[in-house]
Amino acid sequence: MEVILQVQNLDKRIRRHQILKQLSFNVARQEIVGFLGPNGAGKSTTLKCICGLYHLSGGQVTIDGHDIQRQRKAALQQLGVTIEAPALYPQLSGQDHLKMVAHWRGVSAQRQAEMAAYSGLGNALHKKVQTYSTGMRMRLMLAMTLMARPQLIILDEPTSGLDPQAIFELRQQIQAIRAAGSAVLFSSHQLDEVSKIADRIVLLNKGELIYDGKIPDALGAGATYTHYTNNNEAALAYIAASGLALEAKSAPDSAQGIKLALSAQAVLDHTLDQLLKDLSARQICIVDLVKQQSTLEDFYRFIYQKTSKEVSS
Amino acid sequence: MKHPLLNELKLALSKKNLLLFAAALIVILLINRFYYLKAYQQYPEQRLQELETEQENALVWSDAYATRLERLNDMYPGHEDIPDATLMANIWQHTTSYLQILVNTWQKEPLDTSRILKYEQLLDDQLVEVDQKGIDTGLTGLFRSTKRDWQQRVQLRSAYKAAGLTEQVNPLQPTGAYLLLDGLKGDSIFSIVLIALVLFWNFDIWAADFEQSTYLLYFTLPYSRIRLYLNRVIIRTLLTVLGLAALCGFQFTCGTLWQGSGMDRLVTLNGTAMQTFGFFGMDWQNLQPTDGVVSIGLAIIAEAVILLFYTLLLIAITSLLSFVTRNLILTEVLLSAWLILVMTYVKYPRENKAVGYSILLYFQSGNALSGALGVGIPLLLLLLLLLASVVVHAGACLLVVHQEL
Repeated sequence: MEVILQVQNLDKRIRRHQILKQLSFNVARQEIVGFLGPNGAGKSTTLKCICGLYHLSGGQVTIDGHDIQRQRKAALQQLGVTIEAPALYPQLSGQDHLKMVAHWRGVSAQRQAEMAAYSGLGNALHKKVQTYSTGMRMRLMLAMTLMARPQLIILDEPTSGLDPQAIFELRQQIQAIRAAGSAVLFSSHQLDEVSKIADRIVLLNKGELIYDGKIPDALGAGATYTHYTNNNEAALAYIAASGLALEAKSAPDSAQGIKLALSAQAVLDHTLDQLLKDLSARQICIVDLVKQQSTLEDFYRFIYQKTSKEVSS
Repeated sequence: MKHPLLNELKLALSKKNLLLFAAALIVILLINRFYYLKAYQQYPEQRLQELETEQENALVWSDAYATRLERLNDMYPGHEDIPDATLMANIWQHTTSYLQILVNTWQKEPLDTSRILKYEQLLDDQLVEVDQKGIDTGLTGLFRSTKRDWQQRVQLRSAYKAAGLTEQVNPLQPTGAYLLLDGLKGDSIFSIVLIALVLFWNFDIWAADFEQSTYLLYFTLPYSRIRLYLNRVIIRTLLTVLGLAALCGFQFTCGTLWQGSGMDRLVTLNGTAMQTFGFFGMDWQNLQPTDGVVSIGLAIIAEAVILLFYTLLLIAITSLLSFVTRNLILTEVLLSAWLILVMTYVKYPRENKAVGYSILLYFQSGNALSGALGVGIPLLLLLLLLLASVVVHAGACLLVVHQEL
């Protein structure tokens, strides 16, 4: 898949503090990537480095093949950005903003009219932005961001302050953006929303990349599997002796037969598959398998706990 | 970047800026009514008091020189100093008479302006021989201030005569041209208003964007940061200059409607700066090469050019401060402090000290805006102002490029 954004070994230091460490990830065309991390992980710093607002201490950022530091104009022409709260001039109307961006970006009046219609603000476009609700501001910002048909759109906390209806509309708009051919990189704390629309997630913690993978894989990795066996004790003993990185314990509901609940390592390393083969070789049969689908929140908590343990050990 | 002017125009024509402009118009009207018009009306009384003081002084010196002549004749008949002593005694006697006539004329209404002009000329013309003979008049005040001022009066009178124009008896008549001339010289309330407008129209040029986060919108446009910086600064500078020009036009119109345009006046180039531009050795007693009489229109243009260059520097400093602080209140406080400094200096100028030792103080000085006309190197001042503006903008551009946003 063709890459629109390439972040390679990105380092960022601010006053001797290493904010980002050798960060590398890509965003492909027509891909929606969720950019996650706890507060202070370096998400906004990364996005500002990508937009050229911060200078890179090391590494490279290219947008559609153009280096953001050396070919700033060409790189930014492919970029539409909404960082932090909607950045609007309170004394201007929505229409004024659309005109301003159209002038800055050199787009036609027709495109400007299209974006005015896209914003869905109707007559409110002629009112000053200071009278707008948060949802209206986001719609206007999105229209301004899409004005020049950028190949890559960056949204920083786009759902912040929005009501459920507005979040739903935003989700639809992001999916429509992808359908129109653009890629979206967005950061959010609304994990439920991210899991609904993102194709892939990139997780950051303390300036380092800790996960970069597809959503289904992430959800699978955090899944809980309940195995119904014919010999619970033997299965537990084997797992304990095997040294596999699995957490195994007896299922609480013994009245319905013996259940074995496992929290599995990510399916990427096929640990679970190997376990089932080994149990079968020892005549420990799996009579039923129930996978309890985890949420992205489960995975998020899992991965950050794992990272914290690794750091402390 | 298409139509940058339209975008910046919309941003610049904010409610705040329009209110400031409206407030400036009101302040100008008030200044004209309560300062200039009042000064014009009070001038005859003020002039009368000055003449009476001069007359008292003249009486003292007249007696002194008469006594001196008498003693010389008695004790040293035929002494070589007698001719000069006689001349001085006669001059002081005439001075006393002429001043008495002037006092009487100023006391009557309506003013007999031709009589006033005649005796003012007689007072000055009688000093030609004193000057030619190089007689030292000491601190007698015979030349009424300095010899250079006397020479400038003579020069001005000759110029009026040559131009076939009549001198004004009341120099404070608030004609359109006079209001502009006095207003633009830098140490007037009008120029303080203009300077304040420059500062407060532009203090939010960058700070507002940082506070409302619209810098994220602006500095992620596909243009170099320097171009984005210069685009805004240039447009704002043009708009500011247009705004100041509009106010000057308003001032001129007010004066013209009340007292006429006054464009037929002549003025002497102002030498005030030379008194304070201390690191140049100045001879205060004689006309300087740059002393001369020009039409009031030309003097206004010269002052406007100086003010324009000063405005460029102010905008550069304001822009830099606004970008560095990224804070509206802090920028406003710093610029207000600057303005207070300027106003304080204007109100309490340090005439005896050489302000010119510190070029920065000179830029604050009202004399910088008026005195440059008298400084023998007006182009140097303009170049310094321009250079300072360029240096400040260059510093700002460096910051814009290298700072994290």
